[in-house]
Amino acid sequence: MNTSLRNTCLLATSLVSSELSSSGDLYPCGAPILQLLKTLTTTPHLLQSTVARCTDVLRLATNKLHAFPYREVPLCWLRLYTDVSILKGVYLIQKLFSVRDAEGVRRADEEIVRTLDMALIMAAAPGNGRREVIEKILAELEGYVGAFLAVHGEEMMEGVEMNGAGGKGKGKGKGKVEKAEMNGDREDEEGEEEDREASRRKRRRLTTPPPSLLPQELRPSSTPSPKITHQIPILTTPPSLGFFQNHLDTANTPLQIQNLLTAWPAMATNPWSSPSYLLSKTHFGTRLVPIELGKSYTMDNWSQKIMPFRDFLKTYILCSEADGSYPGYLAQHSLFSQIPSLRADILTPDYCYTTPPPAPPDLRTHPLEGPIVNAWFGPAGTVSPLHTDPYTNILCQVLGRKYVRLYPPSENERLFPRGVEGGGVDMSNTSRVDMDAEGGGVEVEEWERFQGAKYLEGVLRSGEGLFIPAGWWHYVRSLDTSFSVSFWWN
Amino acid sequence: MELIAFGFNAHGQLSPSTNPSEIPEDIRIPQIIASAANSLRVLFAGWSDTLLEIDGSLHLLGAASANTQLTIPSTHLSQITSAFGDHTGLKGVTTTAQAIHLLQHYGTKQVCFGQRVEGINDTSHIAIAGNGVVAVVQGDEVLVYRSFSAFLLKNARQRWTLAGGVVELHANEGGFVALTREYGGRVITWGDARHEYLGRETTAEASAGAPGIVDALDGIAIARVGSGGWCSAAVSVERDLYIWGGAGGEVLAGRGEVELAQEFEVVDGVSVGDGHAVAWAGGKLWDTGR
Repeated sequence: MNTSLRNTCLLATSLVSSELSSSGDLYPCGAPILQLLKTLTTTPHLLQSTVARCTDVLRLATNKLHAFPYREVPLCWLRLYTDVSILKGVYLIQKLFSVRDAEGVRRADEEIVRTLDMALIMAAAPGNGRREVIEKILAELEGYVGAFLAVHGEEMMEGVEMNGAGGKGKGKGKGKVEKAEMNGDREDEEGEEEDREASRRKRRRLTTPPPSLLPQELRPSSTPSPKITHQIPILTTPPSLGFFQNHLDTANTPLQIQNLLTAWPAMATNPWSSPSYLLSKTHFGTRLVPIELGKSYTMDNWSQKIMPFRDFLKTYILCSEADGSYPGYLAQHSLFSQIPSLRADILTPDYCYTTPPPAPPDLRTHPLEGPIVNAWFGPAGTVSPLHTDPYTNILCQVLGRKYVRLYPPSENERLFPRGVEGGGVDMSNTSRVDMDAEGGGVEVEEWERFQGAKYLEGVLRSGEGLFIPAGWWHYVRSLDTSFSVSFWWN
Repeated sequence: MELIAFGFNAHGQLSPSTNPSEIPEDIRIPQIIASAANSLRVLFAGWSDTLLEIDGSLHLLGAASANTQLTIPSTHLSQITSAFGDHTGLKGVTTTAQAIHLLQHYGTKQVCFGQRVEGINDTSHIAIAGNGVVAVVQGDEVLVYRSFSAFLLKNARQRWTLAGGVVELHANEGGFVALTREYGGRVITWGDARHEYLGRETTAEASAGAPGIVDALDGIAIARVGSGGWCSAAVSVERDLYIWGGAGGEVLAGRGEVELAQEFEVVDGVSVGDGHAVAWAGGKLWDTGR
């Protein structure tokens, strides 16, 4: 395990350093940065200051990531951020090899995961082989740390304290996640640390389940389902591909498809309803995830924060005292490209390979090569306010219930799309109507017009999928702890 | 006179390292890095380079001089008024003749300023933001260019006249801060709309992309301004220090709001870096931020 990780680190370093003289991608970063980087790859024996210098360059690269709108960040900064993060990760791993205590190993592991995950989340790790080498490092690192902790009598990081204040996010502006914000609290979530003597005697192993503080299963809440008056048409068994294509070509209206996910490992064999399983797939829960904080992205107190998965699980999913008015939601995140092993738990519905009709003219977007897959994991009470997407969507519900309301594009005028808002953000895909507010949060006349709009609604349950045609307005509210996967295609 | 420096030194821009193949250490305890008999000016303190004028002669330290200290000929230049650059290093200087001279490299250790750039003879200020946008004061106008190359090609994206004329112009990561002569000293900001660091509300009428007055300071005569990272600061004629900006978690003042820095009694000048500001008065120096 050790040798394999060392080799992968060597591979990673050579990937980065070979590029420094040859690639044109990094050239716009300028000679000073490239010179510093070159020195960093050739004098790694000075470990302490090497890591610090990597951090210095990352700070500059982070500023550059923020200096441009998300889609306009020049490639050189994304490449720089990624490559320096990889170098830093490699040097941190070299330091890790000389750490001999369990707590030290865990802390070092967290910092390495954080560094590499930031490259994935902030820059999407562009560059030849970067994603793959990061994934390989993380997998082998997990093996190394797991083996180390087993030998030193430590439990896997399963226990999550149930009491303890949930961390609340700091307020920031709207827009995609732009900046790393660490949840500072690192509470000791594992069981007591035993000294080595005791551990050798007791020989605790990974296979012996520790007295876990985690619930076995994420259970549904007792919230009753709302009364449904205009039910979305239900199909009790998944239709054939031919039927679905024909439906797209003719009616092209929403469908609630039951028993769609029966073959998904996430439903039974690799249960996403098990917190300990989810932690085991996220590198002991240390993998970073971007979380939306606040009731709705239309509100002023809404913000985003990046935090370790186990912090999200503990603070926003498992904590029964979590503030319902300020939930945390792992929303619209490409979790499966960040953590490819989770991809194995889901199956892309065949329908994603059909050809939908073009989206309404104002929503047209570039053609996708393959479906965009997003994860949506949150407690009961999360809300996606009424909005449209430019893609055809199948929303697959793995865990929990979600109430969904749908309005067709023909009702656009009764839904009052927003315009360009503060900070230059185009919110025209979002309705001004707040379905959770008194009178919709709009003028009386507008509320009356809205009430006249025809809609469909339903409670999407575990194992079901909801087909939402492009341009259809949808409002989604979770009734239980919910884990959904959306597939967008065109 | 002595020059004391501390901080980031990875390129040897404060103090070159003895071993050129190693990365120099940062300077954690302020130390004297230069002394002069008559005059000493810090013309440029960038991420990788420093340009000093010591008793009339120019000294360049940092990446541009390959981690050594080079003396650069300057007899062909009028007196330098300011220097400008970006993450690639020092790019050039402006002079009292309203000319611009660009830094030129010949091999690894030969550096000098070229002749004045053709066709530019009315430039008093120039600043480059972190996103590459260049703002220039030419005559009584402020011109904005998409990039430095666009500036050399005289391909302006926008131009405005700022009443009263510009006294100071500073760039930060996403925009600019200018001090004009109006009303004893007025602060104007513009730049990237996204990060609430312009010290003023941005609306359709007073958009972020066009110069706008920092209303909170309207009526207060401002003597100096500074800007860097996502923060800006202003020192009033009354010697109060005002700070605004900060993106993400590192905020020196309220988001979008201008705050009076209470902890400083009187302040004569301020300089703002990335997430921190340094202020001075009399013989004292303070810093705030991370």
